Amino acid sequence: MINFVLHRFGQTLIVLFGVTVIIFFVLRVMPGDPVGLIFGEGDDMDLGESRRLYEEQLGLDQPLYVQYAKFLGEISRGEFGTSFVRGGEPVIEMVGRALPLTIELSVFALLIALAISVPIAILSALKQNTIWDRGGTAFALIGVSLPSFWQGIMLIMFFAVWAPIFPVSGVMDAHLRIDRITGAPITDAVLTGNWEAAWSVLRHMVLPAITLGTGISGQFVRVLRSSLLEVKHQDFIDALRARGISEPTVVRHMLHNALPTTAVIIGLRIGALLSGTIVIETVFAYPGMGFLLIQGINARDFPVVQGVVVLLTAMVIAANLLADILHGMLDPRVKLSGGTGSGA
Amino acid sequence: MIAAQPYAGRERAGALLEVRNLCKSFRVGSETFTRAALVKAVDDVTFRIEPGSTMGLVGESGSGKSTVARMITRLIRPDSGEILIDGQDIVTGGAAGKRFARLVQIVFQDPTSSLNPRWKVGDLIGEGVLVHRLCPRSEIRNRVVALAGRCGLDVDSLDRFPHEFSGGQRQRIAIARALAVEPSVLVLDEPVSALDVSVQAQILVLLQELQAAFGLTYLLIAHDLAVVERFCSHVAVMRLGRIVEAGLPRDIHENPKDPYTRSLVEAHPVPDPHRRKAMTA
Amino acid sequence: MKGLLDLRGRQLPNPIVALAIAVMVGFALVAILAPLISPHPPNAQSLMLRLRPPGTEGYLLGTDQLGRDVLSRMIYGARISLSIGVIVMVLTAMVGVAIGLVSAYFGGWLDTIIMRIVDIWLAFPFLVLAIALVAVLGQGPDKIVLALVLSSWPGFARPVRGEVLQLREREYTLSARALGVSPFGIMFKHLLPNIMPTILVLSAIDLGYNILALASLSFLGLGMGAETATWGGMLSSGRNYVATSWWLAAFPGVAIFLVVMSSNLIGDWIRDIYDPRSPFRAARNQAAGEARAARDAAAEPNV
Repeated sequence: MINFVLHRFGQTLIVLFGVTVIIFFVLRVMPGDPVGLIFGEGDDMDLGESRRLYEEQLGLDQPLYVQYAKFLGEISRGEFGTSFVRGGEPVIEMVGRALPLTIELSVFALLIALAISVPIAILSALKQNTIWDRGGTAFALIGVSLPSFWQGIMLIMFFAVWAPIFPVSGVMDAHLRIDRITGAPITDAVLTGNWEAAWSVLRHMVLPAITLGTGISGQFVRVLRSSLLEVKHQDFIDALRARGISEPTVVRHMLHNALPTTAVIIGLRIGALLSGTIVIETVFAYPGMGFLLIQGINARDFPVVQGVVVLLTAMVIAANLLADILHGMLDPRVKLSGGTGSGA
Repeated sequence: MIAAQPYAGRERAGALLEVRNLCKSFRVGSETFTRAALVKAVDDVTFRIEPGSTMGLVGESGSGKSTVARMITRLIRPDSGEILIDGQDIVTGGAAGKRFARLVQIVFQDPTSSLNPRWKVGDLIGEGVLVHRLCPRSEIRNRVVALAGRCGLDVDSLDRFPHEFSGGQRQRIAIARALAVEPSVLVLDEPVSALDVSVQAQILVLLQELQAAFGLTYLLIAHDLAVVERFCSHVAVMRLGRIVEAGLPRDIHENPKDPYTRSLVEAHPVPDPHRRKAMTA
Repeated sequence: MKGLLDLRGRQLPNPIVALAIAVMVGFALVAILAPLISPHPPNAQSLMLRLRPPGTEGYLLGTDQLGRDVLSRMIYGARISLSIGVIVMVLTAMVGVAIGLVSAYFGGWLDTIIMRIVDIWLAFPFLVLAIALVAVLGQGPDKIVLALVLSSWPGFARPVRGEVLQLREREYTLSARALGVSPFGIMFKHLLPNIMPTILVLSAIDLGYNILALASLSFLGLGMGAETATWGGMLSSGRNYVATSWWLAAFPGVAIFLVVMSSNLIGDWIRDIYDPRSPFRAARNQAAGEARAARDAAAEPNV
C-alpha cells in the first residue's frame, strides 16, 4: 500500500512538472510577445510605462530555462504578480477570495449530483431493461448533452421572471456582511453564527449548484449504473440471495463493490466540475475562479489568468491523486497489482 | 504463367536450419519502486534440422518452445545465440531483415486470430507477394489462385472474409499465406491443436504433401507426442527453457531417459495395441 | 476492407437512433444550404424591428436586440457549429489516432513518454486549457480549431493506444510482421481497420463535445468575434434580454442540445453494433483495468 501511494506521488510529481512546463509555454512563450498581446497596439504613455515594468517583471530578456526556473519558483511560492487592472492588487489575494467561493459551490453541486444520480443509478441497474432503466438512461443522456450555460439561463428566466424564489446572481443579499475566517461564505457564516447570511448565501447558490450538479449527475449515472450492473451479475450476489439475505442488504453489498470505481470517477470528474464552474459562474455572476478567469481574459489581465489556470489545474491534480489513493484503499486488488498505472 | 506458380524454378527449396546457444529472458513485474525479476524463457538451446526434414519440438506451455519459434521467425530478438539458415545468420541481419522473411515463415495455432478479420482471403494470401514484389501486380491474382488451389481452397473463396470459413479451411488459408513468399523453412506452432480431430489429419496430410512438393524444412511445435511421432524425423523435448532430451521419435517413445519425457510419453494413450503390449511387457 | 462499415445483417437503428441520425442529417443540410434557405442575411439589422417575438411576419423565430432575424442567425450558426465541429473532429482523430497507434505499436520508452504527456494533458480541466489557448492564440475559426484540437487529442490517443496494445499481440499482427510487412504497413493496413469501430464511436461523441465546447467559448466571448453568428454567441447576448425576450436564448440552446444529444446517441449506437461490451472496457477484468477504464471515461471532455 505504501509502495502504491509512493508510486502515485511519483507520478503526480511528474505530472505537476509537465503541467507547469505547458502552462509556461502556452502563457509565456507561445504568444511570441505576451506583453504586446496584453497591452495591444496602443502605445500611449501609461501603457508604455506599465509595459516596461511588466517586461521587467517577467524577465523576458533572459534565456528560456532561466525564465522557466523563475516562473516555477514564483508559482511554488504563490507569487503570481499583481493585477494590471485592479490598481495593482496582488493576484494571490484575488484568487484567495475567489477560490473558497468556487470550492463551496463545487461541493454543493457535487452533493446535488450524488443525491440525484445515486438513486437513479440504483433504480436503473436493479430494474435493468424496464421503464425505470430507460428513464434513468434517458436522464443520463440528457444530462451529458444539455449545455449547462443554457440550462442556467433557462433557470434564470424561470426564477427571475415567473417564480422569483431564488436569487439569480451574486453571492448574497447586498446588505449582509460575513466576517471572514476561511473565506468560504457558508462556512464562515455558520462559524460566526450569522444564520441570516448563511441562508442568503445558500439561496444564491441553489441555482448555479443545480445547474452544475445536473450536468455532472448525467456522467455519474452512466458510470455508477454500469459498475452496478457488472457487480450485479457476479456470483457472490446470487450466493447472497440464495442464502436468503434480504434485498436491501444485497443492494448494500452491490454498492460496496461498486464504490471504488465510483470514487475514482468522482475524483476524475473534478476537472469537468471545475470546467463547468467557469461557465456557470459567468452565467450567475458568481465571483469565483471561473468568473475571475473570464474577467481576466476580457481585461487582458495576464497575471490573473495565469494564477487561475495554475491553481485550477493544481486542484484537479490533487483531486486525481486523492481519488487514486482512495481507490487503492477501497479496493484490495489494487495493492496486489502494484498500481493502477495508466502509463507503461 | 510460370511466374504465377509458387516455387517455380526452384528445385528443392528446403534449407538447413541451425540454432546455436539461443538464450532469451523476459522482465516480469516492473514498477517504479519494485525491481523487475528476470525469467529465463529460453536457456542455451541448440539444434539443427536437415533440409527437407521435420523436427518436432515438444513441451508443456511455458517451456519456451513458442519463444524459440518466435525467435526463429524474427518476432522476438534473442539475447544471445545464433540462428542460421543455410549458414546465414538471420539474427544479426539487422536492417536487411525483411529479406529473411522470405527464408522462414510461421503458421500459428489458432487461424481465427492469425488471419486479420477485416481482410479478404485473397488479399491475405497475396500480401507477402505484394510486400516482397515477387511478381508484377497483374500477376498476383494468378499466383494467389495457384497457391490457394495447392492448399485445397476454391477460387471463389478468395473474395470472402476469414470468418466465413471453418477452422480447417482457415488453417489452409494461413498455410497458403505463409507459403506465398516461398520460404525454405516453415515453423508450425501447434498447427492442428485448435482444430477438430477429424480435420487435424487433413491438415497434416496437406503439410506433408507441400513438404514433398517444395522440399520444405519444418519445425513442428507441439505439446504432446502423438502428432510429433507420426510426423517428425527428429524430436526434441523442452522443459523450463532447456532441451532435456533429443533423438528419433521411436527411441524417445520407447526409452525416455528424462523423467519429464517419461511423463509425456505416459500422458498419451497409444492407439496401437501391439506397441502398447511391447511397452508394458 | 469492404467489411469495415458493413452494417448489413447487424442491428438496425431503433427509432430513437433513427431520429438522432435524421436530426444530424437535417442540421447538416441546413448548414450546407444556409445561403439558400436563410430568409434574411444573418447580420442584416433593422432598428425598426427590434426584439420582435417569434411568429412576427417574415421573422419566424423573432428578431434580436439589433433587429436581426433569429432564424437566419440560427441557420448560419449551424454552419459554423457543424463545420468547426467536423473539422476539429477529423483533425483530432487523425492526430490522436496516429499518436495512440505509434505509442502502442512501438511501445518501450516511446510509449512511456507519450503516455506521460497524455497524463499531463489530461490533468488540465479541458475547458481551462482550451480557454487559455484561445486567450493566447486570439479569435477566429482557425485559432479555435487549433485550440480545440490541442486540448482534446488525448481523448483519442489513450483509448486507441489501449486497444492497439491488445491487437499488436494478436497473431495476425505477428503473422504480418513475420511476413516482412513494415511497421507502418502493419499499423495502417492491419491495425487501423480493426480499431475503426472505436474511432467511429469516439468521433461521434467528439463531434458533440466540439460543438458544445465551441458554444461555451463563444458564450464566454472567446469565439469567432462578435459579428459572426454562433449559437453560443447568440445565447450570450440573449442572456441580457432573458426577462423580456426569451426566444433569443431559448432557440440556440435547443439547437446545441439536439445536436449534442444526437451525436451521443449515434456514438452509443455504433458502440452497441460492434461490441455489446464496449471496447473501452476490454481490459476490465482486474482492478487496474477498471481504473484505466474509469480514467478513459473521465478523459471525455465535459463542458
